[in-house]
Amino acid sequence: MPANLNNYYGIDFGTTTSAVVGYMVMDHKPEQFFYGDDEGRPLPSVVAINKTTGEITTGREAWNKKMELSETCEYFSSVKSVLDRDTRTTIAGREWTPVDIAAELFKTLKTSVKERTGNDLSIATVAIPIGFSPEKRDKLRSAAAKAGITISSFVSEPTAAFFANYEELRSSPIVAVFDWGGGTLDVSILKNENGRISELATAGSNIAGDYIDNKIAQRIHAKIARKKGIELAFSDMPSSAQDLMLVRSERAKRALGDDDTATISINNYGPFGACRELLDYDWFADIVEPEVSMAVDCLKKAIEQSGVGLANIDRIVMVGGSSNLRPLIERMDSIYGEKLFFPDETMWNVGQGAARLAMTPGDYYSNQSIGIILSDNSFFALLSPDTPLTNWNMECHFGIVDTNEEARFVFGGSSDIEESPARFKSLSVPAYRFLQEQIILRAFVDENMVFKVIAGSTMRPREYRRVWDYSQLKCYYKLPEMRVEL
Amino acid sequence: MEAYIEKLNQLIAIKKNKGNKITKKEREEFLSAWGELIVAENGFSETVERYFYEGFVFAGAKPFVQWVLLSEDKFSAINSLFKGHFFGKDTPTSFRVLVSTLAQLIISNPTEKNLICPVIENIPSVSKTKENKTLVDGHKVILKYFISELNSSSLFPVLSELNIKPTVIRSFVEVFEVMINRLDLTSLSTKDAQKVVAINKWLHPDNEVEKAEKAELIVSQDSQNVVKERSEEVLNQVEQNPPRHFYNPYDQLISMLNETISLSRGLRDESKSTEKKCTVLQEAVSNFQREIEVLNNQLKTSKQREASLEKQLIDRGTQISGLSLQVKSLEDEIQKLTEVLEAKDQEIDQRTQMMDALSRDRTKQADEQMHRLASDLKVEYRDFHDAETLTMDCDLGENMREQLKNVFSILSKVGISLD
Repeated sequence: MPANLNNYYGIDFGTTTSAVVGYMVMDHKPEQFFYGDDEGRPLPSVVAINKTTGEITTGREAWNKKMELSETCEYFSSVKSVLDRDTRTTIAGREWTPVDIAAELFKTLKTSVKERTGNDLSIATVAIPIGFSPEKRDKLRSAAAKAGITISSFVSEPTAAFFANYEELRSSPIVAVFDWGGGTLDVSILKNENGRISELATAGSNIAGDYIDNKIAQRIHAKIARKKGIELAFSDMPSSAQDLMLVRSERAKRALGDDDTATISINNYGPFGACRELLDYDWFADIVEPEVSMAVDCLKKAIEQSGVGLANIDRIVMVGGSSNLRPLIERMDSIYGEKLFFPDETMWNVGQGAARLAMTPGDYYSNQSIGIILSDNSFFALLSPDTPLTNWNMECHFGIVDTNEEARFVFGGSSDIEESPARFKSLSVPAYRFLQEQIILRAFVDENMVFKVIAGSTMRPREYRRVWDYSQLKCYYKLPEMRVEL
Repeated sequence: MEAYIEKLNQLIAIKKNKGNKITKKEREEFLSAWGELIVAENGFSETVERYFYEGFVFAGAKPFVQWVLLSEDKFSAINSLFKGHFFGKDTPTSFRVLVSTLAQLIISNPTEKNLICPVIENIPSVSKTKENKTLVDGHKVILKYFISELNSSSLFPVLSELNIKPTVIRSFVEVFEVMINRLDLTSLSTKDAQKVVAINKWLHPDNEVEKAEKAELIVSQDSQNVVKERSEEVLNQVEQNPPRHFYNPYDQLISMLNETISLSRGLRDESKSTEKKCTVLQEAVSNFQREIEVLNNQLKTSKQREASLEKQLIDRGTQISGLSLQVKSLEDEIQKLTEVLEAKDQEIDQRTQMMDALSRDRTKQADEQMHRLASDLKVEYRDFHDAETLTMDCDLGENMREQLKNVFSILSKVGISLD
């Protein structure tokens, strides 16, 4: 028997950084690989396109020269947030959509895989935030496809983070995933019932690491300006000086994770000349206190929404680059103590989880009921709770009992559907009212987890068919039995 | 080629070389070979007929008549002569054959007297040339194949009792008469002369006296006139007063004795003829037996060879089956080994791929280490580069000292110990 070498990939397509984690499995023994930028870190999710030449710069290089490149390039960050927008930007004679820009990041990730191991990244499981809309999922598929990558399935980022640390968390029924990265804070309360992962509550914020870096830079700039007696806003500084200040601020932030003081010095800070500022931890803690409080409050809010109470939270998984912020850790420790859990590779955790799920895929199950309210007010269920959603579909044949020229279906089964306006929860299908006429209704869940119903008369051509879709399908993820020893 | 054909060819060739001097042995050999041929051909076929005509000098029509007499349907047999390919093509030859046939039939004295009819009927037609002239050498043929062949005991059938039209009989008689009249009776032997008298009697049974007298006249050669007158008187007397027949018991006894002798002779000849036929047939049977023996031997040898070959075939078949099984087994083994080899090749490829990936990863990690170091130092370098042209002052100097500390700190973090 051959060794049976297989490759599995998980992609964390983050707002600020993106990363690929791959497993090469031979003889049931997986080798883990991290694919990011040239410095071995996750790839900054930024794309700069030269306004004149159309040259594309992505990742770390674009991030390091953010301000400088902003002058000559169209600079795109947080493209994931705007994927579903129908914007078009013409740069150097070429029209760019958010999908095209996201495709450039996928291409860079694909190249990184090729350069690192010689393998071809062609299929992957992609982690997405909770509440990532079907439209965005569809666009993300398109962007990946443009880079030659097929998305086999989506998994929510908290679920991926949970699964990446499954060995440590499998005995914890309620887990909070606190994912604070460069661009967003995502908090999820997950319920784990023997591998059945459902989300009890979510909360989030767009204030994250990049925001904090920028805030520190501005605070330092203000101190320097005050000391030098020159009134000049940070935004009015030369872009290279801004870049330098941002880099120094980020380093100071990291340095203050271990030390009580950090120095920011810039030899030629524009009109300020040579500058130097000594930062102490207390000052820094005061500066980031609002963001830390916001993050802690966000977690509390999620816990409250979940309804399980703090006492029932077993573990809090701290992932994302900003989760290492010292003031945050001190605050969280004072509140949650031993419940805090810091994985080894916080930057790669989501990607790891996605890759593991690619290797041993689980399945989505419905966590709600969807059906039709019949003419006698009884409920006819199309989709019942705990139904596996992969390849699920159902076909029903209906007759017409009144004299209307249309068959009208009213959907229900969950409060959000039933409480929505009639036009959102009903579907009218043209009909002839013939005696033997039937309305065929076919229900299925598409690859982007949208519940769809296509209905049409047996006596009408295809163009008279009508579609009803429901994108807020509640489901849970059933983790697979672990078949590979990780 | 069959032995009797070869024999016939050989005899005919010898005859051509030697002329007409045929020995008794050659005659018997011809009769034997021709007899085998007609038996083999199952009748008077064209080949048989050809050898009959070509070898006519050996025994005349004797073999043919012998075959006719042995045939079940003798009339069909005798008629086959006239339906033959060669009969009638050459008038003298046909005449010779018929005269000989007639003689042999008379000698044989068959029970079926009418067997002679078709011969007599056909003789007139072959006795004349195309110009309707009587054959010049006809009398010689009569002498050689008829008169000479007959013996003193030969019994002539009574022509009037045969199923032949009188007109045809008359034509036959005329032909024979003309031919016989051409004979030089003086040159004949006494026996042949007596035979001529007997023939004349046969041809003219009602004119015996007259003919006898005529013959007497010719022999005595007395004064022709006196004889003529006397003859005329006698003839007149005969015409006016038919001769009286007186009863003579001795004549009747002699006649009976003659008849008995004639029959005895006929029986003897028939016995001899039958004996010869038996000899011919025995020889033919003997030849057949020899051939059968040879063929049996050949068959036996062939069967032995066939059995041997079959045994070899079975042995070879068994060997082939065994070898086929070995080949199949080896093919299966090769297939399995090929599959194992392919699997191993695939495994090697995959392990190489894995090793390559791990190797690349390690190299990449080292590169990333360098890049991280470069990236960390790059900021310090850019800052330093920006200040290269600036006038040195206390702040710049302090900054540079700070940057130098940062550089050392960065280096120590990547493992470069400077202490």
